[in-house]
Amino acid sequence: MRRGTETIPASQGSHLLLNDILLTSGDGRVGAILQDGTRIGLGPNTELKIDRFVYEPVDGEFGLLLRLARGVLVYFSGRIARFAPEAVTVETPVGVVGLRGTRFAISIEGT
Amino acid sequence: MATKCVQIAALPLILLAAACTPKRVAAPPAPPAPKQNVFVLLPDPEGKPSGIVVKNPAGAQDLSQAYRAIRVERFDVAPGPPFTLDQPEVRRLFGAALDVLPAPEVLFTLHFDLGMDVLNAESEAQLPAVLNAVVNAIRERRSTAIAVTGHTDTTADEQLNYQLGLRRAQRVAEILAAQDVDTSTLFVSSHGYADLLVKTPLGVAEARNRRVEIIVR
Repeated sequence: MRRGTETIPASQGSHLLLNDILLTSGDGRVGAILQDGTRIGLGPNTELKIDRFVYEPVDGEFGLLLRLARGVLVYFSGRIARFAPEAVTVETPVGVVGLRGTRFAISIEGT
Repeated sequence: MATKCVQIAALPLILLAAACTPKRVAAPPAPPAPKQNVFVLLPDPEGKPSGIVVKNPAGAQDLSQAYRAIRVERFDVAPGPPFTLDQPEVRRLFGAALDVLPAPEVLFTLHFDLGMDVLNAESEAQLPAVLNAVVNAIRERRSTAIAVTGHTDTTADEQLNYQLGLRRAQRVAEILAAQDVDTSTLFVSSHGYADLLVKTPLGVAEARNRRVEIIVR
């Protein structure tokens, strides 16, 4: 994963921070569970940035923005989507996904 | 002090649960040109109504049934018409990513006496069994992120309840630490009365809302 200018190898149990970019190679794949229980899976040759993550039930503030630059993303929703489905967005090079539902998948091969 | 952090904003946001090393499995055959960009709605496990909308400057398309999909060629070309993606094709495109999805989080709940950070009699009696289950879940999942979140009912004001929720969560964090759970993996916070298990108006003493949730991820 890329954090600022650093590239850090991910391993079981690694913690991911806001603005990190997950990168997988041609035979790589990686799964992550977010603080609100959202689960994501990335296939090979994938680049995904965690661009916004806000899970603040006390303040009623929620937001999740994932940017899929290329590759494969599977998304299973968590509590952010339950509190505020409109606060979840996935951006891709060909369009933006808004959420009313719980599970979807995207494959971006190119434009 | 058994708790590591109390500020959600200061915490790592996300736990990477499963980073799989490449397996010696043949990669799926390279798809033929032209390149395709596919969006597909997957079934909701409880069969709840679900849907996504895919938008770009040239148009928008709704998907509201499982396995309905669309292709989108470019940002400036409207999303194509919906079609059904058969399950072998879903596997071919998304199998690798589906296979590495972490297991769903596991939730344990302990209940508290009114206005206090003391477990109620029932939860006190169940505590050994609950702790055993929590420790097993942490071990099985090799979890490095356990949320300990305090909740209250709607008696008293918001600020008092935030503090009470936090004290309850800290109490449970101390109990977990005594079980040799690594305190650096505990994310302690309070939701006050913002996240009621049983929806009530303000000013209602509802026992089921007075709780701490231990969520193993």
